[in-house]
Amino acid sequence: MMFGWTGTILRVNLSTGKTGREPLREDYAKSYIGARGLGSRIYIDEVDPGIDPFSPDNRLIFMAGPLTGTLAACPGRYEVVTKAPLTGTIGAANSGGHFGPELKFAGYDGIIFEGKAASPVYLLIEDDRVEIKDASHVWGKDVHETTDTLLADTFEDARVACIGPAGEKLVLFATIMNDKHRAAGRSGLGAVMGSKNLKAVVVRGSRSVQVAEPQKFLESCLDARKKLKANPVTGAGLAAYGTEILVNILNQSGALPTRNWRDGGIFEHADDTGGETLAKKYLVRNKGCFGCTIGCGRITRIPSGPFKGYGEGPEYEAGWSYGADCGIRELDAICKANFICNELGLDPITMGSTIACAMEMVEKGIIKKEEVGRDLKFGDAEGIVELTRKTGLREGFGDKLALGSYRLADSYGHPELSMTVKKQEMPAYDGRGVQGMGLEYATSNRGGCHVRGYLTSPEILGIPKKLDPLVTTDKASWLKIFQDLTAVVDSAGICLFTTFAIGLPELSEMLRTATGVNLTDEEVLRAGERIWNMEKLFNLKAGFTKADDTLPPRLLSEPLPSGAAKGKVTELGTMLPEYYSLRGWDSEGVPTDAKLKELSLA
Amino acid sequence: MTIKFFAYLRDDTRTKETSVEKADTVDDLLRKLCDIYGPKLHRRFFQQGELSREIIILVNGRHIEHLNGVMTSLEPHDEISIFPTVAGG
Repeated sequence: MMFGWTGTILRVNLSTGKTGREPLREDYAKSYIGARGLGSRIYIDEVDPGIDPFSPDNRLIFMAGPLTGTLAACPGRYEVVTKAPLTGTIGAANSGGHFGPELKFAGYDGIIFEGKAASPVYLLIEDDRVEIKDASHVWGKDVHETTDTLLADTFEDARVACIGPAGEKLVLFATIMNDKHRAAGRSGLGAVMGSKNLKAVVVRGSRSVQVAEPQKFLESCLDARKKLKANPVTGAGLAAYGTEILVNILNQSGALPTRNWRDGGIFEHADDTGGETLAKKYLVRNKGCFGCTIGCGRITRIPSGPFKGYGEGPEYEAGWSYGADCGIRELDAICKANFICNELGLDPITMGSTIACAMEMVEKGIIKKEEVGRDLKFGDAEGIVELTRKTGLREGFGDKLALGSYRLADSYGHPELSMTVKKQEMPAYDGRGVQGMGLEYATSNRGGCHVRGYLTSPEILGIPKKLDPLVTTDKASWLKIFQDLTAVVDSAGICLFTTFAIGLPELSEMLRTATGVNLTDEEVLRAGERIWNMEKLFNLKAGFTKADDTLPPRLLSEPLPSGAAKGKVTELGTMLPEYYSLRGWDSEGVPTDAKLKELSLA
Repeated sequence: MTIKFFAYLRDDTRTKETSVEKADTVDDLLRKLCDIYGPKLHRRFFQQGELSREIIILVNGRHIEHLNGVMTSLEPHDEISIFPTVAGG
């Protein structure tokens, strides 16, 4: 018997309709922990890195962690893993809410989907009952309608993960949404689900998660929760203002990318779009995921006007992409565009950034306004709402935006105007003003992304220690530790935000007492390093090289025009060789044989 | 000089922004602000006589830890941003 893990994985072949249970390999559980690590290990074992993400042979894996659904700190997380259509890299997207815990309660650590259904289906799981059911009545419906309909069809207390029209129509940055408002958001994993004609997974479980040492586990969880409550960020700030509180501090630091990163790091209307304004004008109440003590979620309502609506968010990165990046000061329009992303199943970071890229191209005369269907320019509040809807439905110019900013800009001969790494949009932190974040974007295994090694925490916020954002010193070593630790946090099944208050010792103790596997703190961190290197190997085999570990030319050659970081570009050439060396990789960014042996990956 | 407040410091001061004619250092400025806004702000800013670890201060966008801490000199045209510790991501 396993503890923490259920020990069972569900395999579903959508082509044949066959479903079956498989035991979880104990050696994999110990080496790759769960969720992101374990899902990626299984995925990489089964799939050729050169595969077309939309091939029926591709796998789509939902995987929870050993702490998911337990009493651990913020244990609501699970991961979706597949090859990402937007980037062509390993795609791993993490989500909260209640779906992951419910999967554990039904008795499964994860689900492996393979094949492609002949017509739209959804998977219904009720403990041991597993059925592939017709979904033609919800095909074409948005996330909210789909969720409500499937709950009415099955159990009102079940949990639903589904795609919206964007996933059905293979928008390259379509999300998988669970509990209506939580997203496995980045890199287009929802489009892989759509390519399999899989509209949703509905799960209801009646069991509980067994842990190895209940008393010690309880003590470790209470210790972690106490620290979360006592911390000013996790105990008060995030509940009061949500993640959108970051707008002003990034702006005052001169690192809030403005108008497709063209106008530097200071947005003159930033405060109109910040967490303080959101709390004052549109916040209904805050909300937490399963077992969460932080409650950073925003339930928001725009009571009247052209952008009237109700939903959740925006998170900081979504608020930035539609706000500063598009030059929009109208917070109601930003909220509305974000609501539409959640309803249609779109990643708002890529969506807003792609519109910002289009705005710059229209202003430069590269794209004709007739082609867009409106006089799109920075500050066009109605434009972000209209184009978001059109993209989710792939109507008109939205069909071009549906490919993301890189393919859009490249199709007009101007790929340099796309603010992407490995074709994925970088969010919300200018790597010229926050040097470590520049290195983070360049080296992230899923392309432009902030949550693979969040150096904003030490560089801007001073957590756990203040680093100077304008220098390159020590950024490579900090990034390596952050990337490895984040990989374990994502794999354990707890929220990354816990790391504002707790660290490796608390995480390791929860893992040890939940699973009964006596990994030292160092071995837990080493598992994170193993996961990172495994992801890197997949990308190398998929064709990525050192040339892809770079940044848009704008960050490397256009100095910031004003603010504290005036005159700075990202000094990637200084940091990248040091990073490769610290990782035990050669000068081309390839893990050495010695490193792979050390990590048991050879 | 211009002083900008953020997050719940706006509730404490009931303003987003104010100005102070003269302050030689950040420490001098903070004490003047405490005189203006009262003991609640003092409790936010100082713990056991030291600057609270839960306060972030930027002078013209630079964190004072990378300048001269609370002894950072101020000029009349400076912009000082004061935040409680916040985070997100």
